[in-house]
Amino acid sequence: MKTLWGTPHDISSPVVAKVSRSYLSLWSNPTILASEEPHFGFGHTGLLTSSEVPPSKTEGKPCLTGIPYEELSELRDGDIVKLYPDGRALRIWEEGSHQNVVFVTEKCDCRCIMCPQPPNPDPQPSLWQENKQILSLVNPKTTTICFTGGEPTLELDQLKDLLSICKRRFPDAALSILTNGRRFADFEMTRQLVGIQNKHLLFCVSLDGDTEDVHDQIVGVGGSFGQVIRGLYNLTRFKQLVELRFVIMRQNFKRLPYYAEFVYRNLPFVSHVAFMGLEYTGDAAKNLHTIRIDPTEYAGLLREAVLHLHRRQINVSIYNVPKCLLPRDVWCFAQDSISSWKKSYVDACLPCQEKEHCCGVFTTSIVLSENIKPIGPIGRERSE
Amino acid sequence: MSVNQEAYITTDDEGYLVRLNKGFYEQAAVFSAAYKFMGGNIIKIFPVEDTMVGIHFKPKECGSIEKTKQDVNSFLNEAIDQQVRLYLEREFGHMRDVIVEHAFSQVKKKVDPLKQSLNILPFSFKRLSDSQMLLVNCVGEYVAIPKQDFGNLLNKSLDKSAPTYTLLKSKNFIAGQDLELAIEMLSTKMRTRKAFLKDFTSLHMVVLTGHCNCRCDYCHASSSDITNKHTYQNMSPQIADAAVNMIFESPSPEIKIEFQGGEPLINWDVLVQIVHHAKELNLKAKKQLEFVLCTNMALLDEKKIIFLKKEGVLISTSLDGPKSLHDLHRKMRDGSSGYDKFTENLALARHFMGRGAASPLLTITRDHLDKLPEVIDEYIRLGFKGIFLRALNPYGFAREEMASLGYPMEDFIEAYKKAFRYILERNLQGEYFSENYATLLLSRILTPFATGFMDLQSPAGAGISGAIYDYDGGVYPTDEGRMLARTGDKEFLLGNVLENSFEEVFGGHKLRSLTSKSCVEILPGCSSCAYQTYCGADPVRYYVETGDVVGFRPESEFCMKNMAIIDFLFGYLLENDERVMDVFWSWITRKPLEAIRS
Repeated sequence: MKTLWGTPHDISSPVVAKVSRSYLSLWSNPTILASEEPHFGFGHTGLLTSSEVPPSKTEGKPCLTGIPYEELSELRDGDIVKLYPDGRALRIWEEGSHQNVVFVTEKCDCRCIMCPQPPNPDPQPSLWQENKQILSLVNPKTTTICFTGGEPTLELDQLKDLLSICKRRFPDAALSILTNGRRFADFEMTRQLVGIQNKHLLFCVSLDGDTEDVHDQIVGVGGSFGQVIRGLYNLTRFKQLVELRFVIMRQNFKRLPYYAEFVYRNLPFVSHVAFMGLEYTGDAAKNLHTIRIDPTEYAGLLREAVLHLHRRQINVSIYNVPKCLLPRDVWCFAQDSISSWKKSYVDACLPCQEKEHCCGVFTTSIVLSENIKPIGPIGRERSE
Repeated sequence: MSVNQEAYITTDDEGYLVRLNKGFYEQAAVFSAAYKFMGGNIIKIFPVEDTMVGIHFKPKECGSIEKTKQDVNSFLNEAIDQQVRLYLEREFGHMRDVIVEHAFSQVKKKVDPLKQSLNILPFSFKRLSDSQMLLVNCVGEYVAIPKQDFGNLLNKSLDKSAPTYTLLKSKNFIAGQDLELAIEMLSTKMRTRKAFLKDFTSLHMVVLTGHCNCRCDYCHASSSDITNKHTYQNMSPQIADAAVNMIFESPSPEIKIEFQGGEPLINWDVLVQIVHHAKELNLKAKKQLEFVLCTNMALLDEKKIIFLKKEGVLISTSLDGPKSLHDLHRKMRDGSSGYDKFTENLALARHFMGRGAASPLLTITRDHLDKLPEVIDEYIRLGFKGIFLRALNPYGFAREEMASLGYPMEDFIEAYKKAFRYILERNLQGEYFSENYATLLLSRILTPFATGFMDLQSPAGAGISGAIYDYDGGVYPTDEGRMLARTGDKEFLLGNVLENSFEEVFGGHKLRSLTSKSCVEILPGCSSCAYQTYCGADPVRYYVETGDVVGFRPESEFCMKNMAIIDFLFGYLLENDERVMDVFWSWITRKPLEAIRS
C-alpha cells in the first residue's frame, strides 16, 4: 500500500478520512484536504500538506506537514487515507483503481510457508468499525472490492455485515473474497454467507496441491485439503462463482500438470484458475531457502498445466510471472497482476518490447529472478 | 498377496491342457479367465489332482490350433489378472457399494474407515505391455504405471515418496487417512458421469411411415413400396396425437422428437400435426423441445423447407460418398440418381436454413471399406464438419444381405484405423473435421461428464434415454427393436400408445428387466473389463447375436469393435502428442483448432 510520511500534528490515534483536493468540502463524511498550502480550507477535518509549517490555527485537527511534493501529488479526490500518530499516511483506498482491498482481519487459521503477510502474533483491535467507515466513504460508483486478510471467514459476522453494506451501497460492484476455503466445509456457514445474495461475488480459494500431502504441508494445517474440497463442493451447491489460486513453489511445482487434470476431473465447475508466482516477503522471505524456485525451472510444467485447462475450456491465468520467464505460447494467459503500488521493473526491462503488457516484479520481494531479460520484436527472439 | 505362476501346459491330440495350482487360483478366477477364450475354443474345466485344476482347450471348427496356442498363453496371464481382481474385490469390493450408495441414495451410511493407512479404491486394469499396466478407476480416470509399482500397490509396499503413489492418490485410486473425502469425491464424479439417468427418456423417435421412396440394399428398417399410392404403413393422425401425449408424460426437461421412417416426408401432414401438437402441449410443459427430421431429402421442396426452418426442425440425412458410391446401394424406387437429388436439395435447404441445415450419416458396406478416404473427401467437399464411421448393423434388409454387403469386424477395424489416421492428418493440416465415434469415446475417456449416446451407456439407454414409436403405435426401447419387429420378432415391444399408459410402457416389467440386464458393471466379460466405464451395453444387438439380451462377449462384434478402437485411441492418448491432443479436444469441444491452442 502506498505510504506517505510527514510530521504529525494533533494525531493521537489513527484517523481514517477521505482525501479532497478542493478547499471547500461539501461532504457530510469527514474529508481531509491534500494541499500544498498550509490551510485547512472549509469543512475539512484534517490536512495533508507539503508545506513544512503547520497552519497557524490547527484547532486540534489532525495534520501532516512536510510530505514530499511528488508523493502528495499522487493523492487524488476520493482516495481514503489512514493517518498514524507516528507521521505515516497510508493510502488504504485508491479511487478508480481495480485493486482495492478491505482487510477484514489479520487473524488466520493457516500457517502457509509462503504467506506474504503473516498474522501479527499480538491480538489486534477489530477492524470492523474502520472497514464500515471505509465502505461508507468509498465512491458508490466503485466497480471492484476485494475482501482479504488474514482469513476473512474467521470474522464471519463482520464479513456478513460488510457484504450486506456492499449489497446496498454497491449493488453492481464485482466483489471477491480471498480465502483459504477451510470454513466453507461448514454447510451452514456457507449458506449464511451466500444468503446475502450479492449480485457479483467471486470466492478466490487457495488450493496449492492435488493431494492432501502437498497442500496440507504448504498451508501448515493437517486436514485442510479435505476441508477446502468439501468447501468447494458446498460453494458449488449454492452455484457460487469460484476461482482457484495455486501459488507455485519448490514444494508443489512438479504437481502442476496433475493439478490441472485434478481440477478438471473434480472441480470442472470453477470459473477461473490462477497460477501465481511467489512474492518473497513475510514468511515467504523467511522460508526463502525451502520454497524458492526460479520460474524458468517450472515454465515447461506451468505451460503444460495452463494449456491442459485451456483445451478443456476452463479459464486460466498466470499471475506475478514476468513474460520473459514464460514460453511465448502462454503469454496470452499472463496477467498484469501486481498492484501498481508494489510493481516495478528492473534495468533489463528498459528496452523490453513487452514491458507495457507485463506484470513486472514485486518491489516487496527480497530476491528477483536472475533470468529476467528484455524481449525483442516477435520473430527475432524466442524465449522458449 | 502373491500369485505364483504355478502352471503347467501339455499338449494332446485335440489341443492343450493347462494345469493350475488350486492353492493359488480360485474357481471363480479360472472360470472368468476361461470365459474370455470361449469364442474360438471348446474349454473343459475339471479336477486333475488334489492340488491342481485342469483347463482343456480345443479349437472350435472356426478356429485353428495356432490361435488356440496363443489363447492358452494369454489365458495364463488372464488367470493371474482375474485372481488379482478377486483379491481386490474381496478386500476393497465393499467400497464400490459405498460409493454407489453415496452417489445415488438419500441415506448416507457412515464409512467404516479401514484399519490400514492405505485404502485401495475400486478400479479395473489391463496389461499394456510386459512392463506397463493401465488402471482405470470407477469414474473413468486412467493412469499408466510400471508393472513393478502395480505389484507394490497390491502388496501394500508402494513407497509413499514414489511418484506413482502421489499420482494414484491424486486420481482417487488410493486414499490415505481421509477415506471419506475420497468416497465423497468419487461419488460426486459418479453422479456426474451417470447424469443421463436423472431425467429419464429424452429422445423420442416417431416412425411416420414404413414406406419409402428409396429401396436401399441395406435398409435396416425394411421399408416398403410407395408405388400405387400405398399408405397402409403411414402413422394415422390419431396414433400421432396419442404418441405425442405419451412423449410429454416423460419427466425429462428436454424432449427431442425425431421423425423416422421409411421416408417421413411421405406422411408430411402428420409431421406438421405432431410439430403443432407438441408445441401446443409445450406451452404448458415448458420443456426444451427439439425436432429432428431423418430424411433422404429427395421429397423436400421450398415450402417444406420454409416450414422446417420456421419451426426449428433440424435435418439428419444420409450420404454414402461420391455419386458412384452413394448410388451403389442407395437406390431410388423410380430409378433416378439419389445423389443428384440429394445435392440439389442440400443446396436448397442450405439456401434457406444456412450452412448447418443438414448433417449426414454414412452407412459402410463392403464396397466402402477401402474407399473411406474418398468418402471423407466428399464430405469435406460438400462442407460437412464431421463423419460417423460405424459398422453395418445386422438389421432389416442388411441382415438378409450380410453375405454381399457385410464384412468381418476385423476388416472394419482396419478400415476404421486407416480412415481415422487420414482424418487426423487432414485436421493437423488445419481442416476441422471430426470422426464422431472417436469423439464420443474420447469424451468418455477424457472428460468427467456424461455423454448422450444410447449405445455407450450403462445401463443401456434403450427405453430410459430414448424410445421409438412405430407407425402402428407400438413403442420400442430402440430403433433396432422395431427393426427386429419388422422382420417378425416382437420381443422388444413395450406396449402401444393407444392401449397402454405411460407407466405401463415405461415402468413395466419388460423395460425394467432390459435395463437391469444391461449394466456393464455386472455383465459377464464386462464386469472385469478395464474399459468398462468408457463402454456400454447394447442389449438389442446382443439379442440379435445370441438370442439373449445378456449376450456373449467372447463372440460379440460390438465388444470386439469397441475394445479395438479404445485400444487404438489409448495409443494416441499415452503418446500424448500435443498437436494430436489439440485435435482431439477441438472435436470434444466442437471448437476450431485456433480456439484450442493458445
